[in-house]
Amino acid sequence: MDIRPSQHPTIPQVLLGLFVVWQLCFLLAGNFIAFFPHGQAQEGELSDSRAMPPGPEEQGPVQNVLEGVAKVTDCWSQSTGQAQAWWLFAPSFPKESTFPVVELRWDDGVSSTSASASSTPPARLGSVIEPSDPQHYFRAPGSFDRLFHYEIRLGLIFWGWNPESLRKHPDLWREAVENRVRRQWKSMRAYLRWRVERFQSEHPGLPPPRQAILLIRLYRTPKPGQEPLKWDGPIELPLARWLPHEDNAPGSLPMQMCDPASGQFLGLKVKE
Amino acid sequence: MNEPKVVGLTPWLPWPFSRYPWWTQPVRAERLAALRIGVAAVLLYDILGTYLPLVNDFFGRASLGSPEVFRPGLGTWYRWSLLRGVEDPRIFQGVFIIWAVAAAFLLVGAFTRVSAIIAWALSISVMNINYYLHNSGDNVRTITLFYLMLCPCAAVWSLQSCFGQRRAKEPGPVYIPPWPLRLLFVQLALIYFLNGIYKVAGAEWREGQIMYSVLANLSWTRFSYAQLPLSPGLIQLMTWSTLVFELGFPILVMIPRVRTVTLWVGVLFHLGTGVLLQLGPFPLYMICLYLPLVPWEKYADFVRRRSTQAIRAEQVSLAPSH
Repeated sequence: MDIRPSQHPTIPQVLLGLFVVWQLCFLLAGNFIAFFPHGQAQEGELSDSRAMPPGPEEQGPVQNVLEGVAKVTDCWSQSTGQAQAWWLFAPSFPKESTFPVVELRWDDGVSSTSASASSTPPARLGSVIEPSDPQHYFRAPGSFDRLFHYEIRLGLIFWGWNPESLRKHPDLWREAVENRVRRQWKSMRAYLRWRVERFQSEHPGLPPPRQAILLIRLYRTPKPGQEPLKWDGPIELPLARWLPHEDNAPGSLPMQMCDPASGQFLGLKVKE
Repeated sequence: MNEPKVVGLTPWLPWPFSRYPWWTQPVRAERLAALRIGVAAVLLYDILGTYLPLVNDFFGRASLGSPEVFRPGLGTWYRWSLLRGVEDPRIFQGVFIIWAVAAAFLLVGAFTRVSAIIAWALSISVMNINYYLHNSGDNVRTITLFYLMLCPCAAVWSLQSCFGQRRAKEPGPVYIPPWPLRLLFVQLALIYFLNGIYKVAGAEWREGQIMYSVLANLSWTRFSYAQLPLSPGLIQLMTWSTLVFELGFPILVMIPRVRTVTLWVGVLFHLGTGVLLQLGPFPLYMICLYLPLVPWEKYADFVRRRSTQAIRAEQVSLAPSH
């Protein structure tokens, strides 16, 4: 049985046929365009895009065609929800496991405040996803799978971190952390605020904390064949700090970065 | 026997598509219905099991997806969300209940077109207001819903079709134009092939070591590698077989002799990742893409023959004897 339309197809049949052909072209172009430099450097919160901007030597008519194809496929994929981003665990995978931890402090980090506030000891809020024993744990499927995807994105900057690298390239690490906090300050603040509000609802007698510090706890995966199997860590790396009472300071980002070399928190000016 | 019925608009396809029966020969509607039922069931689990328990932690005012976090990404016309700027937690609870109802209707095949449109629109909307919660499995979900809302996915195995069949005396087989299943198959092949290309570019993949890094990672795994350590040979086998499967899928699935084995390997691969890794419903949505590849019509015809025989036997026994 075949169902080719008659020699006089209706307009809806023609439109549907063109749609099918377009979808096929889109699937091919939308996937393979990623292998060619195009687009602009990514800004703002992280995305799944791996588009690499072209270099100055890659300008010209061919590049213009690529940019046009990329723009059209991007518009179509975004507007219809058909993002083409298929690279699970590729081409590499980190040797580190990362978990965010939030430290709440009631001093302002510079001078002492009221007696009741400064006498409150710091509170540590771990991730529900971090295992208490790396040798034995089990995580059932459910909502925490989704929370995990949020939390893992907060610590991506420290994939590949090690003390030797920091010693050799402190400026590169400082720049990388600054760029990451500039890009991700909104989600970092949302995460810290969410943890602070939950803590406050569980401890209504405490005053609001003056600082919320985002640290990333890092475990290094043991080498293959290592006996006994033991994860190195956790190593705690401060990443950023939020001062709730200075959230709206003009000219500054609400989040401060932590200099990975000195451990000092540094304010970040809003870029023009 | 009734004439085969083709449901849905038949597209006019230009050359060379019009030459190939793969694009023009209708397929049994059970294959699309199986996809609809599978995706709707997983979506229902997804909404009730992964979103709703923490809905107010994920979405709305002072949540992880507080409107100011991802709003700049929604600045272009083609990146949209019906929930843009929504802060009230009660609205989100209502939206997720509507989404669950749409999934349930899609599952049973009632108001299917409207249900699929609602499910697709909310799938995009929810992803875009907090995409840090999501992964490529959610892209697969939205893509599948996109096709379901455009094609006659309730032609059989649905409440809609049940009411239609009641009117027909002896319902015959129902067919649909093949285009949605063909495009989804191309999508499936590209998912694997692209994954394979990106993987083969990595030295650890080529050396056969990466599965160890994945399975021994404390963040991604459901249980500790120390609880189930694997031999280096098995790690290499898993790594390389993943590469071969993903790169070879488009070819292997075209060869009749290895097609069934290839598909079973794919299903087992996704079940394995679902058990071992925190990928959310990703493996389940991927397995749904295999459902149209199962010859459901054989089972449907078997059931139909049995019920027809039963009805005839009943008519004979009820007929007045002379």
